[in-house]
Amino acid sequence: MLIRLLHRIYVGVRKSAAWLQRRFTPAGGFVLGGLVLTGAVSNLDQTTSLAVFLLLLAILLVALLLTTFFRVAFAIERHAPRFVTAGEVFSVRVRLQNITDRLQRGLEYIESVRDPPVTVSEFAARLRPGRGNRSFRVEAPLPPIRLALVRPVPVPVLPPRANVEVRVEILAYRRGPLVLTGGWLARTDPFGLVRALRHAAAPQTVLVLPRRYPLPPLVLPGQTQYQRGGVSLAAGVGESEEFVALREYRRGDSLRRVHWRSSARRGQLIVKECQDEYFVRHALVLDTFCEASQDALFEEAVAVAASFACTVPDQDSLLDLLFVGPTTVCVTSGRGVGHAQQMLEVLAAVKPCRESRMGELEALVLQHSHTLSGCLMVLLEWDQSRRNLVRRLRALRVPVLVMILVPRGKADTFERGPAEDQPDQLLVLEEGRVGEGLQRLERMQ
Amino acid sequence: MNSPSDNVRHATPPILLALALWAWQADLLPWGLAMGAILEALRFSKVRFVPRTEDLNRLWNATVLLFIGVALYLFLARRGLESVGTIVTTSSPATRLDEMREMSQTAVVLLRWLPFVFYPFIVATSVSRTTTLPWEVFSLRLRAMGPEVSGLRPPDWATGQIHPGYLYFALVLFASCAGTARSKAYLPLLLSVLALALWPWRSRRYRAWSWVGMYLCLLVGAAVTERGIERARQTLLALEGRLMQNAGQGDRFDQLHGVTSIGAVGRLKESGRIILRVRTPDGTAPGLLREAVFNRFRASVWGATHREFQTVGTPIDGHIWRFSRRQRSGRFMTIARYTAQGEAPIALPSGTIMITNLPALAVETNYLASARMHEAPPLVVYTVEHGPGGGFDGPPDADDTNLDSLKGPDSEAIEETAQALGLKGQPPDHAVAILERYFATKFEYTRWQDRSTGQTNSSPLAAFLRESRAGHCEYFATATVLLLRAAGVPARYAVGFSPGEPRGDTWLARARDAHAWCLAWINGHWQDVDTTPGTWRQHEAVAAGWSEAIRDWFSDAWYHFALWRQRGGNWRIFVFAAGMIALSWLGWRQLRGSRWRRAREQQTAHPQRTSPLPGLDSEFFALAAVIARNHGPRLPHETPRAWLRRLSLIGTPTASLLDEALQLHYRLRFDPRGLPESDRCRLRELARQLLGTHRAPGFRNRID
Repeated sequence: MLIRLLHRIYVGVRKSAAWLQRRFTPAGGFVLGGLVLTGAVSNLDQTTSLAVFLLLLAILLVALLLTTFFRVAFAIERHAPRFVTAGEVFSVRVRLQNITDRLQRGLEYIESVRDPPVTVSEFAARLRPGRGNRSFRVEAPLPPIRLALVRPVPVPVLPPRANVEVRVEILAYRRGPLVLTGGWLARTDPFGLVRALRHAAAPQTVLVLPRRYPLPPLVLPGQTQYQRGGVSLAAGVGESEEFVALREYRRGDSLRRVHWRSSARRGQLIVKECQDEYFVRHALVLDTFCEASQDALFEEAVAVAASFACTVPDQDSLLDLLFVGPTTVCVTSGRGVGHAQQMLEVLAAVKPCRESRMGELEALVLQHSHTLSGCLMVLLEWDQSRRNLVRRLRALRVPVLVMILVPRGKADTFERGPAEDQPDQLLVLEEGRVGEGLQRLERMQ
Repeated sequence: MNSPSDNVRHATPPILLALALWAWQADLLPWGLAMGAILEALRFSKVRFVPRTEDLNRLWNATVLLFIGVALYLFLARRGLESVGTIVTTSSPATRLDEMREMSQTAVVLLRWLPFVFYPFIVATSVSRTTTLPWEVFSLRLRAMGPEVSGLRPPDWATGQIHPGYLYFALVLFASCAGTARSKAYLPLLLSVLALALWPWRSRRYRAWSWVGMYLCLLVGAAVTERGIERARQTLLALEGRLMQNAGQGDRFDQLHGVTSIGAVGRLKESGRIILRVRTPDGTAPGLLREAVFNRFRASVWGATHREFQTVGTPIDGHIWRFSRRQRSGRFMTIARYTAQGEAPIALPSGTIMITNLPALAVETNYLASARMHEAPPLVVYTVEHGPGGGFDGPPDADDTNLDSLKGPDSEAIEETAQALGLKGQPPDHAVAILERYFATKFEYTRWQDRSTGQTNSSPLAAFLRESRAGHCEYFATATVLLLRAAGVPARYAVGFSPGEPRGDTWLARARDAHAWCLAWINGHWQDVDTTPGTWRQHEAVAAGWSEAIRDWFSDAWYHFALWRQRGGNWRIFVFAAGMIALSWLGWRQLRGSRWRRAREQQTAHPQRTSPLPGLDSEFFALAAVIARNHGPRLPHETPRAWLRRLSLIGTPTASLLDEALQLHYRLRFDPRGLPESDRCRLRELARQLLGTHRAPGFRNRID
């Protein structure tokens, strides 16, 4: 009940804050802040602050009144990229069409981004972030809920019934779908405090992919493994060139394998079949089990996984991305199978799992273990269940590279545990210095 | 077209004018003009330094510590602790309001000093190359998040930047409005300064005359506001006065006007606040402690016919107040209570002989044995000696047997009950015994009886005696007084507290332990007669909520602090010194950095790194030049490590030395902690050794 009430208050405050941010210019924000401060210190003895409060109130009221006389009709046409990367600024070209007979000048354009709804359960999880925040210390905040930050851009003089193009810069904070709902055309009052706004709808979705870190040249551990039933894959990534037979083209076959002469003869695509079921295949295991207080770490873990997802398939091998979300997920990418882009799209949508289901993850990984040349694990903790998984993989002679994300300042005090639990390689990545930590991979090889 | 943000990036607020306005208001005009002139002059200065983020963070931390120190000093110097104590302990809204006003005055002084406090910060930022500062400088929380060391830095517009000049400008204007305006010109002047600051932000959609029109409109509005503000103040003051009139007195009985009413005790009983702390030598219950006595009942209201209070005289040894000439009994109790601005009634047991250790300037009593103190400290802890034959109640007079003021249903109900009990003609002690038995067997206690209940042609007292036969102590006490008077026994109505909650050796009297009882003249002296059923305490205990233990803890903590404060010497200096030590420690940590241990352990090669590119003096560069000359230059996109790998120098006899030198070079250049002196020496040594090797003729051939 209390949580619901707090959630309603939170949603209200969030909407109000967004409204205020859209409605007031930075100068208006200063005046509004002054209004609140003078209002707070005003009493019957402090008549000056009371007078200043009334004066600031009058300024804002006049400014608000002047914003009511804003009449403009416009249409927008947006050219946005399909994919962008979290943490980076991207540009959107917007063509504004003035559909009135009046010349418009001194306007601003503000891209409208849909605020993602925060459910009660998500809100409750953020309120109970877990043991990490049970102190009065200043801690790193949770990842932002806001998806993106939009910069208002000035609009050139807009002639009657004419078009102008503006370039809007947007900083995507978080991965996931970013819905651009339309745009606001804004005009400020003469003092430049309050904006009058008119909206035009133009919905469009941009997928924000996880941020990625540059990785050093990698030599991943492990040998080629026999891939049962993986002939079509082997056709793409295998090593052997021994010819076995001809067969009809199936979806996924590389064009390099097409036997053009036979194809011409038969009138349909025929490919060469090779006896080569041995190739390198790695698993990229993403740990999704974390409390709300570890959400920032989880985002880093996704970024690390995305970095590998982009790099490993370029190395003539296959990569299976394994994680447990609402269901167990296995996505394979590599030459001739799937593109890294697909894996990034999956990673853009992955969400943390609040209940620890390590058993399911272990079963999933072990199910694939016989085909694996090696295993890359991105973990959020180094507890017994995770160590058990590593131990079992090593017992199956699968080389394991473990990357563990730890909060800021905890890298020096990280407990590696007993020797029998140690993976082949263990890399501790400190939050905020992940990119730097990943460069150590080169030295470890 | 310039966007407003572009304008603002190059704009500077009129700080000189703002400081002049503030200084004029605060009567510090020379100071303000000097400060403003310095800031304006710094604008033309060519001396600029490039501060690091850590420098800015520390500067801001030091400024905040300075602010806290000033606030602490003002708080202690202007009796802030006393004000807080009174606000916490008093339940009188009027007193609380007065203390809050006192505190707001302290806040006003603090506001006025703000431009001084933040001046060093703004001067430092004025001589720096940074036009705007990131929000991280001002927020510990944002700093905790920190930037990703190796990640891409978002653009300035996305990180949130603020112009420190505008921040200081707003702060100065805010400080200028603290206190009372010196002149009616203040508001128009403030508007003009504000308008000047807003000029760069104006919308280019409009011509200048629109802006001027809006400014003139607001100027007229400011004049009107100035004129109307005093009228509004008068109206609001009148409204506040009316509110305070209705708010009542709070946790003590009304002695000044000599009037109470049925229901007043009941209202008090809704609170669990600790009013009295009573200690007896043998730990026995202190009994009834009266605060006021009344003798006239009219229209459901008790009043006093003898309202005049008289001073008890000069205290013996400055703190002993003697009330009775009786022999000393040797029975003592110690009572502690808070006063409201030095005024409070004195809770006393019956038979009071003398009070000791009461540090009040005056003690007054009246004929009905109500007592009060004046000019006392915020907390008084006094000892009362009492015993049989003590007391200073005036002997009974005609008012103590008077039933003439009873009207209508009250009179009929009393007459009817007295007849039914056969009270008339009974000796006083018999009459008291009859009444005690009657109320104990036929009546029950309830916490609250609404006046509106019962029939319209009845009174609360008549309804109590005839219909409900249930009520709280006021009903029992009133009925007992009036029935005793009907029996011809002089009786008075007393209100006070009945402490009933032992805690250690102390008995607590909470607000809900407020009680009313009867004083009867028996065998030549006044005796307490309490006919309220003994179960009343259990009924009242129901009102104790779950939070009472927490409130008690705070109350006890504050009580002990107040005791310590009152007994201690110059505690202000102690607290101020402790605060200053804490602030100094924090400041030292900030300025020295929390890395003091690291700094002591390893003296870095760059104790103060002023160059924006550290490590440019690394010996590795000389080595790299030689290698480049011998084996081929480094490509523009290549790191030194990749270059050496490409040259296949890693496998040479000097490979390990080269690798070590490269490691040290990297640390010298990029490790934020710098390179310890010992490692730096090692780098020099390695460079010298490797240079010797690589310059040696034939080396190239060897590796080829």
